[in-house]
Amino acid sequence: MGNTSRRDFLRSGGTALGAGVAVTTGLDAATVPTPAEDLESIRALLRNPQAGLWAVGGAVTYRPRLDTQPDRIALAPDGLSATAVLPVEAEIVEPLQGNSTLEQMARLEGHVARRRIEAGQIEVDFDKNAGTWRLRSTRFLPA
Amino acid sequence: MSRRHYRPLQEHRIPYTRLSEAQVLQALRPGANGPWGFARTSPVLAGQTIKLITDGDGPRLEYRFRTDRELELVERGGVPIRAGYGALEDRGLLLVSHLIPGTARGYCLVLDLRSGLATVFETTFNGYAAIERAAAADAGRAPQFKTGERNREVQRKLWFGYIDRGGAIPATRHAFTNRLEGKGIAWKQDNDVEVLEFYLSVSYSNILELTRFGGELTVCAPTDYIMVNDHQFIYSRIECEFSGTFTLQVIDLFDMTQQGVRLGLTEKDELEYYLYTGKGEVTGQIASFEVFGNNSETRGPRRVYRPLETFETMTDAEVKDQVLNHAHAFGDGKGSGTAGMGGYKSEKVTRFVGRKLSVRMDGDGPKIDYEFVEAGKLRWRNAGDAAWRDAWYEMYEPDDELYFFAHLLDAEFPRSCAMVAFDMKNGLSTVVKGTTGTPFRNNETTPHYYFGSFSTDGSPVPPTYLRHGWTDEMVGECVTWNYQPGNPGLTSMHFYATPSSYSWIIFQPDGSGGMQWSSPGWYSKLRDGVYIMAWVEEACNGTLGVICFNQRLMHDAGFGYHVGRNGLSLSVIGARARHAGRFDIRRYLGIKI
Repeated sequence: MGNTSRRDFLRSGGTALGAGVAVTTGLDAATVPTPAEDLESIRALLRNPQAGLWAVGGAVTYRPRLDTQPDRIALAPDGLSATAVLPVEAEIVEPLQGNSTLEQMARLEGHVARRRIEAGQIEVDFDKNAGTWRLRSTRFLPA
Repeated sequence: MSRRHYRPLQEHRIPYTRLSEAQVLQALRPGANGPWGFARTSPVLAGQTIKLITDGDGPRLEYRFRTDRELELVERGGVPIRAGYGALEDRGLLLVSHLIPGTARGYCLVLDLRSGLATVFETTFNGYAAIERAAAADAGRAPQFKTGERNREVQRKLWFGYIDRGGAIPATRHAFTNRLEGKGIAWKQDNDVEVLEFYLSVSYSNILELTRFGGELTVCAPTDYIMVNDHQFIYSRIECEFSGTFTLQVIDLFDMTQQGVRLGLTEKDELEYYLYTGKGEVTGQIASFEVFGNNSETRGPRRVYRPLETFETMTDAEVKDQVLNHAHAFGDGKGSGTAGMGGYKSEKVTRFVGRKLSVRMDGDGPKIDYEFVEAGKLRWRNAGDAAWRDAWYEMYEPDDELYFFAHLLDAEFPRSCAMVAFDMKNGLSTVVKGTTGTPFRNNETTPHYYFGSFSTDGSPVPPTYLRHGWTDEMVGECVTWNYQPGNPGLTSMHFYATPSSYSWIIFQPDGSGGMQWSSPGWYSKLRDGVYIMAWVEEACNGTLGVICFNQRLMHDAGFGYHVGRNGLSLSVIGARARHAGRFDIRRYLGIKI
């Protein structure tokens, strides 16, 4: 059964924005990470299967294309925030509007008004708190 | 035809008691002895010991069936408990049911003595609140307990597994299925209860209670469909939002029999716990809309639609403010747009601009004069009045020279609208007047139908006696309605269940039927194959929907009338239809064939 299309793949691992996707660096408090370790922690977060798909405002899910194009990660001078830019294939979802019973029930069943796949890039902001990098926000920029 | 017991209140209007956990426990006491029933309980398990293993985190249950009515159960290696039980058998399938005395829990088992497979339902009263709190926490909202914590509602956990006979673990399991989807069965039970069931979804079903409720209104319940083999199925439902009663039955399509158990609390808060058998007749098989090869084995969690919990009841003052100060019709002259249920509306009719129209409904019905001032704007007055009132309107032509338009009536509380159909081929007219409020909720609506005639320039002399009128021709039909492009897009299926009700089914993304609900509905005939159907989403959204459905075009033109926190609205409905099939149920409803 079923369609194993890219769309299904894109849908399958979606997590909500702000779900607090995080990895622990594994460093004890006395250890000061080097920028290289920070970069690796952020990349690990990006590659995390649970973190590899996000939703932007509930309207966009995307899959990073790190296999074909590299990411760009910029660490802030204080080492407490970073921004990553990733090439992605994004599934743009227009939510169902309206408040009729039909629309309410259709939303409960997971229906949306429209979906489309678009290439582009996302900018992902991270910040670090108590040694843990967390995803703070994402923005989708169409190609 | 069965003896009817019409009820003053249908299911969605019955004020079921908010029972405390202690009250539920007290009510369940007689169940310690097991279910009663007319059929003799099966003796096949008497003297046997059975160990059930279920998958995942499911229970391990060790049963010793002391007699054909008494068992001992050890759960997860605990202390043995004794309980009464009942069992019914169907060709190697055994339905077993018991409660755990002193608790609100119990088990219903379906054991396949041939294959060794088992499906286990753990039933629990007093469980809704915990589930709702967890769901609310997940969704970041407050728990909804408008009608209490629903301790009376049975919750079920369901596991697939097997009978541990000491050999190899069976590789297969019973499984969720869509193989009953689209089927309708008329059941007559050994307790003289007659009920029509319609399996229009993979997670819900329709029930039409002929004996207990007179067959007026179909209702819907979240449902599990489980396949044992090509002819034996397990069906379970919970009458959520109503009594909360749990029904589980084994259906055998070879000989059209059922073996079932019903567990719940009646509206008198008395335990209803019995086994039953029944004989059925297939009333029809309509289309299903999944791609081929999709058998719904991986159905996923069963969602429950809870309109009674989520519908917000407004006060008199709140509704009055909305209908007087926040009333809008068709974008106030800017047009109703194509959003929502108007995605496939037809072209608006403007040919009557500059003309007059007089509709005269029979008896005490409305008698209204119109002047169509411009596209989208009319003047109207009740016959005999001097003063004209302005109103926004939209008019459509659902069939050749058959017109349908709507507008708001006077700004008063409660507030009404008129939906007017007039047939230029015969001079007949039908008016559906929608008014805010019902005896139960202010922010619901009530329709009134009127039949009569009309006159305008060029209209024919209407017949003296003949009128549009009520019809049961649509009863049993299932029609999908696609309101917006896309697959499935904004699409539902209507099931015209009785002359006074209908049900709608929302498709899941894979095309299978998902959640559904029902409401009262009324049908009138304008021409052969052209009908006006009206419904009110009672205890749900309160909306009055009125469509003129042309079965030749498989298209409609209609209007929605709604009052809520966002005001009073009159909007357009326009959708494309497909015929999904028909159930042959008229003879069960006392309708002349």
